[in-house]
Amino acid sequence: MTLGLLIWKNLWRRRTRSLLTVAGVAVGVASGVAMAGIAKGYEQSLARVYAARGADLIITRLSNHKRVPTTYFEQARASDIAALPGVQAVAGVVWVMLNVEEESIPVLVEGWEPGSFLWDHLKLRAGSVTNGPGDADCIYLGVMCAEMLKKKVGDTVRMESRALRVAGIFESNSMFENGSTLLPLPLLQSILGNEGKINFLNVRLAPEITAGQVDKLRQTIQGRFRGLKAFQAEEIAQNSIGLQAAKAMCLAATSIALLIGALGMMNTLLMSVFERTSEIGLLMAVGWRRRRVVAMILLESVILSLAGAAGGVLTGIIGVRIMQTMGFMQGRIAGEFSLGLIGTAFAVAALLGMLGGIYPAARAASMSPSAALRSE
Amino acid sequence: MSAETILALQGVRRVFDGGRVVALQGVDLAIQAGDFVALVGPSGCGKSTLLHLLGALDEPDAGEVRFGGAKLVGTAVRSRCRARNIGFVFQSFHLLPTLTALENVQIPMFEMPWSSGERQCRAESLLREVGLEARLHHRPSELSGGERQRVAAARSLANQPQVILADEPTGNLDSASAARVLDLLASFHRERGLTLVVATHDPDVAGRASRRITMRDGRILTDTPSLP
Repeated sequence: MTLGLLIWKNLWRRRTRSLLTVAGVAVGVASGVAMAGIAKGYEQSLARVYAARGADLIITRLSNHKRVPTTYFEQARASDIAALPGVQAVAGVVWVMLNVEEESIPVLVEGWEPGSFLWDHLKLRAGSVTNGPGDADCIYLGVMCAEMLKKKVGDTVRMESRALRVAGIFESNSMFENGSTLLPLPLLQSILGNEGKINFLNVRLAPEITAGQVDKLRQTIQGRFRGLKAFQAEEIAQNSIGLQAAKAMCLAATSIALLIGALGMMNTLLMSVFERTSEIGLLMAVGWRRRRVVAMILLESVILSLAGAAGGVLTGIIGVRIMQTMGFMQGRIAGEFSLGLIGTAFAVAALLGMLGGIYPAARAASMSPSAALRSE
Repeated sequence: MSAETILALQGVRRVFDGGRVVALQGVDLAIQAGDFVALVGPSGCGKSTLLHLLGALDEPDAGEVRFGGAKLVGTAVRSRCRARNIGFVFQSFHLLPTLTALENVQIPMFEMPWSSGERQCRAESLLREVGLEARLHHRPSELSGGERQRVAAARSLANQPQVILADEPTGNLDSASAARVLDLLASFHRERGLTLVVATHDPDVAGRASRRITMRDGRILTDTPSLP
């Protein structure tokens, strides 16, 4: 017989309680894994948007201190920035959440400058890009958005009381774009009553530009155009206020769930130690050192935690995959589950198990064998 | 203290409940290697407390306990002494309910430098010695009281101790099972030369011992060789 077998038998003896403890930890881990995976998916999807467009710098206007990219700025800045050395092309963008069709929930609506490089990466599944200067009132739907709205090429979509013709349905490797709609920039500005204003400027840099030159260019932009800030594509994903909020919520919710899991674990092990007082007394009576008793209880705790972690990781991943297929979340969430995330989940659970097991183990080890044997 | 003394108590006092219950007061005792000692006396006279102190399961409030001349002070020292030198048999068996007989006998062996295979082999041999070769894979709930106590007796020999301490070993058994367990313990003493100390109410057990210590109110009343 091995210590491992003894531990297994101890846990299996009260299997319902052990399984409930595992379930408690699993809920905490699953919520953490799901939320962290969704946050990572959000970040990566956002980063892919710019990578796919070939935009190297994103310029936006930040509110002072809060760094919230919500305010518009003059579209005329685009030509000033296009004239800077190292800049190959610029494209003004409006990015806004709007109700498309009255009954639908808000979707991401983008306005792209006609003829800009942004249109080059668009992969149309149906229809064609016809956004010439004279082509008014046409809209392009991301494939997920089209499915959600049940629209096809030639149908009409209403946006802010304006009837728009679906000119194409596009597919992107970014969840955001697949769930979004796309309009020529002047059309969206007109719908919003915000002519001549944009809230993002996508910049494509010259291929030969060096990292040092990019830094210098960013400083130039920020120095010359007060209030504007230039980000590299990956930075805008990481600095996204939505992402930061999601990560903070993820951390808070996961911490609470894990704390509950740890308390459940401690409760289970304490009950187990109380119930097994005379058995632990027997182990010490036959000469078991205190550290072996401590190791046994801590291992029981860690095994419960790791089992909870395994269940939680699976539940979290499967849960997100299922949510991704559900109507109201389709195209809105994408889970990215790296080995690092899964490893972190197991490490946190093991730590949790150790923490939850310390007090019961210390209590067991502090028993006098004589008193413990008499407790029966 | 003679050279053959294996267990010795000197001026041992043990109280419980903040001093309100005096279990042992000023007990001096020396047990020689190879003795078969019966501790007798009414319930609450301090037999079990004395046995627990002899077995390094407890520590005295005053006085000292020695095993083989070495003072038993400190948790680690007492724990090592129990693992290597002392085997226990209790009235209520104290078998782990989830483990089989074979596994229960291996429990003390974790403190010895033996492999899992060696532990199993040795446990099988001990269970065969107590006549339980057909019950190796039975759990305590599947064994009779006498069989459980024989498993406990086999477990007490697990680490080749010098001393066996038995606390009312026949107290929960019918007379036939009690006789068999008693024969077994007596055979450990006789054939292995083990020191055997038994706390008992059973006159048959006391009658088999070579020395009878009678206790009352936490003191040793008489300490005499048993009649042949």
